[in-house]
Amino acid sequence: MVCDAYEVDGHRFRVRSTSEAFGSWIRYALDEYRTEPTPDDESLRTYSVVANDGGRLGRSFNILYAGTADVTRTLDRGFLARCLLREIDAFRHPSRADAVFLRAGVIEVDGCLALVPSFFVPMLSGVRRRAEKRGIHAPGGTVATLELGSGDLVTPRWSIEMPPDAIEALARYVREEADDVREYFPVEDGERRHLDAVLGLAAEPTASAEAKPRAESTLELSVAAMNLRVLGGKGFRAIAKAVAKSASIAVNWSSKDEMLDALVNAASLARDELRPAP
Amino acid sequence: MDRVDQRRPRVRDDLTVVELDGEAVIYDDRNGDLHRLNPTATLVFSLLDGSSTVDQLARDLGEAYSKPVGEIGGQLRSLVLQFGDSHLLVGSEPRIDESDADGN
Repeated sequence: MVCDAYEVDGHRFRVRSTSEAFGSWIRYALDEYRTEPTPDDESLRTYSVVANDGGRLGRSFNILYAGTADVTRTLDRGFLARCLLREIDAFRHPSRADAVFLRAGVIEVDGCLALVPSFFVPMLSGVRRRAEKRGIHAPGGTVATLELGSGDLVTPRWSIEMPPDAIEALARYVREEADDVREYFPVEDGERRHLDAVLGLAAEPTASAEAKPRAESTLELSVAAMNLRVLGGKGFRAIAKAVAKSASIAVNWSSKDEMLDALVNAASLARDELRPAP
Repeated sequence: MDRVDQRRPRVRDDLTVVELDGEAVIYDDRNGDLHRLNPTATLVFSLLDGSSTVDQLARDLGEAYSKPVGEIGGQLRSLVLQFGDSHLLVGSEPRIDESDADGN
């Protein structure tokens, strides 16, 4: 077990890893922010990496937790590393003015790109295999970035200082298997994608997927924006533009299978709504 | 006729207002507040440019929608008062203390 405390702009947190190799890589990547341990560290927000150093590498999920919530559950340790760094990079998002940073998950359902509330992420993470079989790609992560102006989904530039080879260096610390699965974010570095749907939780307790007012989705995303006070009206307009161009849908469920059904139905609704009129 | 009827309410110029499917959503940069208006409130909000009194607006809307002026006037007054309480009108701007100005 490797466990260290770090500090980014006054935010102290711990990163713990069950894998010595992965833990060594974390120390390398985040060396700039590592702090001396203190007696109060037990109470800090903790990111936990559950990864294996040997044996069935690549065949069992590696998991990143923020506190007790899954951020990602993946076979690809490089992907988990990027997820961890993105979570830590998010400490600086509230003060940035170059994009809208939302606490939200990004999923893709049969090609339909959707934003979901961040509390959906751990629920989806728990059913990764089943979700993938239903055509739902929900790799995890709780930060979504909208481009100012267009409202399109983008990946932000890094704002934390890391060695230039921080991500590539993981291969030096962690042995990769030839048949390891390569994971991907729905929007990868350098990409910009048009959002198809904004999903929220329906008030009804029964399983459902139905259209909801775009005004409601705009409010929800505005509340989820970490840097709206910094951006002001231009951030709000970017959110409204993203919502205006996409379908707004409320979903609910009472079991995991119903959750997957609801998401598939939501994607179908979005496609119907966005299809050009004949 | 009370004093509200003689007001010429005007929506603040510094609000960011977007309209989605007939509903206005408003962001107030001064205090970070968000507001959502239903379609009726959105229509009324869009008319408050300071050129007409509430009484004149009630007459115009009553004529346009073939409704009694008294009924329309009551709803209008209520909305104008709510907009004022929500700091959306000129003269009702929120007070900004130092912590708000810092974004804290």
